Parts: sequence; structure tokens; C-alpha cells
Amino acid sequence: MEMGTIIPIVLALLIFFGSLVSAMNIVNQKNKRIDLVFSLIQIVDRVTEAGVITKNNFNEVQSVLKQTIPVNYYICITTYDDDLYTRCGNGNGLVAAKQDDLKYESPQNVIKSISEEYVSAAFPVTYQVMRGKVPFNEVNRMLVIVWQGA
Amino acid sequence: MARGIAAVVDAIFLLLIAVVAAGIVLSAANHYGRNFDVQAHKLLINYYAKQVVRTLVTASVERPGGLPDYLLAYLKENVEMFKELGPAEERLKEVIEKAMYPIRDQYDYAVMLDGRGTTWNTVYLFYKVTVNGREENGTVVYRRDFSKLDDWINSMGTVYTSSTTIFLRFCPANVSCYYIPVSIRVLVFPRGEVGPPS
Repeated sequence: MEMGTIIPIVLALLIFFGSLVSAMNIVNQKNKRIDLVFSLIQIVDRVTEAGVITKNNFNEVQSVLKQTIPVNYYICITTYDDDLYTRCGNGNGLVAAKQDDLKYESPQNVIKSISEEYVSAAFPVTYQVMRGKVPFNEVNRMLVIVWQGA
Repeated sequence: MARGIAAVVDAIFLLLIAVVAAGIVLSAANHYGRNFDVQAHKLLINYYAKQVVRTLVTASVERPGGLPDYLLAYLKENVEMFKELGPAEERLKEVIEKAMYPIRDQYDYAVMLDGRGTTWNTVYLFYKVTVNGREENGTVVYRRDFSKLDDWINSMGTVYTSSTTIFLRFCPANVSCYYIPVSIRVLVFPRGEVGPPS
């Protein structure tokens, strides 16, 4: 076989299989993303399934989530009045960290530390606080970040 | 010699076919990827609308004396047949604004208290729309004739909705109290897509 024949054939094979590999990568990446979106919705659904989030059910749900959700996650419930991230958690006991607390880790810092694809979204939730002896369901925002991790 | 040239031409044709096939494969993968992104986004916004309904149903508000109560309980007390919602309207608006805050830069919205087909036969529509880059908030009350409301909803291209049914209590004079089913419906649509309802 001559070089003039071999070079186009090799090029053709390289281009075709190269594009096939790229296409498979795109499809895999998108499949991972949709898995992350489903996991995010599953997390929000589980956290809010009781309707109102309380300090106790927030902690309980997180320990359940850690065993059942196959992704890493970080949840922060934000109040509207002072915009402090008052109640955050990742299933590892990091709960009720206030902004001036040493344990506090802002969602922005969490996102910076994620080196791979992540999905984040904010949803309205009601969080129960006590006003005197009367429970009050405040409208808060819940920010959820999910990523695959190792 | 001629056979050699023919072989080279065949190889170049093969190369051309491979380039075209590669283009088709890559374009299909990209198209699939874009579709996936759109579907994922739709899924999240649809879920957002559902979460807004859940928030409206469970939120508390302060009564005029400062005493907390469920928004819906407060609403039930204030809805009177063919009258305004009264002080509950402001509380409901506050809760809707807070619930919609995370997406208000990208989306407009409307929340309907829909009592069509009941003895109340009224629809309260709370909305936020964007007209020429400016946000407009308002409330429209429809009674008996809902054609304008239906036209407005039908004029939306893309709309994400979620709804649930609650029961409002009516206590007309000289008649014992009774409940009617009213649907709370949340509509979320792209910013600037429709003007204010009439």
C-alpha cells in the first residue's frame, strides 16, 4: 500500500473514532448532570416532606440523606431578614453554623472547593422558629449544592 | 499508475465520508446535550412551582395583634362572599414575594386563588410581570366572567404550574357556615413574556 492511500485512511479512522469518543463524553457528562438534578430534587423533597422544617427534623433528615443519596451535598437555609446562613449541613454533623461561628462555611466557599461539575438551586421553604411559646413558620430560602465527589 | 491514483482517490473519499460522519455524530451529541440542559432546567422550575405551593400552604403570618397563625387559617377568616380579601391579602402578597425571590430576576409569576365553579365563583390573581424591563405587581379579581383570565394564561408560551386544593370557610348571615374547595395555583413563566392581565 502506498503512503498516499494510507494517510487518508488513517486520518479518516482517527477523525471518526475521535468524534465518537467526544460524543460519548458529552452524553456521559449530560447523564451525570441529570443524575445530579434528580438527586437535588430528591434532597429537597426529603427535607421538606414534613411540610415545615424544624431543627430536629432537619438534623434527622440529613443523617438519612447521607446514607441514601449517592452524591455529596451541602444545604443552607437562609433567612430573608438578615441574609445570614444560619442553618447549614452536609450530613457530617455541620449543623446550625452561624456566620460568626468558626464552623461556618459559606456556600460560595463550598462551590469554590468543588473541582468538578455541580448543580445548585434555591427553593422556598418554611422553617419553624419559636416566637415566645408559639411556633412560627418563617418563609426562608434553601440553597442546595450537589456534586458527585470521589 | 492509474490503479495507484484510483486507490488514493478512494482513500480521500473515505476521508470525506469519515469527516461528514464525525460531524453528524458530534452535532447529534451536542443537540442531545442541549436538550438535556433544557429538560433539566424545566424539571427544576417545575419543582420550584411545587415548592412555592408547599410554602404557601405551610407559612405562618402575624395577625394584627402580633399573634402568629397559619396563612391559610387567617385567609379563611377573611374571605367573605363577594368581598375583598381584607388584611389577609397583604400577608398573602408578602409570602408570595418571599417565596418567589430566588427566581424573580429570571421569571415572572402569578398566584391564583381559584374558586371557579363554586358558589364563590371568584378568582384572585396576584401577579408580577416585566414590561420593558420594569417590574409591575398587582392583583386582579375576576368574578363570573373568566374569559380575560383564560386569554391571558393562553397567551403565555412557556408556563410552569403547580396547584393544590384548600377549603375556604364561608359564614353568610343567617346560614350555617360551609366550606368550598378553592385551588391555589402557581404559574411561573419567562420574564417579559406577557404583559399585565386585564
